[in-house]
Amino acid sequence: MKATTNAQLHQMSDEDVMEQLQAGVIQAFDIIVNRYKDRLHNFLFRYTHNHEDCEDLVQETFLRVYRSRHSYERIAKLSTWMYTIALNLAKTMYKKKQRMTTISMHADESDPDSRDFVIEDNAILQDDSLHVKMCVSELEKALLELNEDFREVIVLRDIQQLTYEEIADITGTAMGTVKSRINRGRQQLQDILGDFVKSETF
Amino acid sequence: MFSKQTNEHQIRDFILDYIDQNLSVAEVKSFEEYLSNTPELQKNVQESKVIRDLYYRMPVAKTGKNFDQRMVARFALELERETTQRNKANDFAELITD
Repeated sequence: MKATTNAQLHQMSDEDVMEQLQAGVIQAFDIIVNRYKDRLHNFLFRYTHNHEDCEDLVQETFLRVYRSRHSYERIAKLSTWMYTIALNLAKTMYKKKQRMTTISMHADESDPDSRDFVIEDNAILQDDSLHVKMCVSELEKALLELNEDFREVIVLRDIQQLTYEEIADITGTAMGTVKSRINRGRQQLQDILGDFVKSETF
Repeated sequence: MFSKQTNEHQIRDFILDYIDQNLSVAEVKSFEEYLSNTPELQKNVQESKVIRDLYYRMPVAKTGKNFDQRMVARFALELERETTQRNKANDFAELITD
């Protein structure tokens, strides 16, 4: 069989790369890690609010992807499958630790890997709106106060920007339920945020 | 397009599509007319849009600079564990056939 080169792997879809991994091409694992490490980190960070815990979860997700590689079937998108694994790990960790009730947006001194956020939207720096920054900070906290069922769909939809179908697959719920939870979750966020999101203040 | 008969699920779907900007011009017009007659819902929808905009300004959490190194180390251990298991299984199979 002709060996797959690294360059070829880079050109492949996620599902094709996974197929290569299933066939024993170890480099395919690196490709998957590079494509998904930051996306999964940004997703899981909404559960942990600690970079070290978060990175452990991201790594554990990838290791489970590798261990379960033969159970993956192409009928599902690889991203959906991976988010399902990550979400289950996050839920398990959340139940174990139950420490997500208070958070700080400041550097966590007990976290050796703690660092500043990367702000990708430069607009926030240009307009330098203290109010917007405060609102974003309050929104981060409010997300952690959300009912777990609401938080997972809100994070998957509004932060990860997945489709309703993908969210339904990941959470194992009907699409109508996903939509209702998103709607109700947004209302709950408004209640938590109160005056911070009055539309006339923007 | 909207009437008192419009059911709860349809309104919910319109709210979601409106916030996601997935409605046609005609649908937007009709929905905004409906909203103007339901101030409480209008306020909720506006606030949802404000929150939606805030997500775009939310900092993105990324993996740290040591992530790759740690991942490589953990994956090497995983491969080693897998090889050990495979060897054990082979040894056992040979033992049985001997």
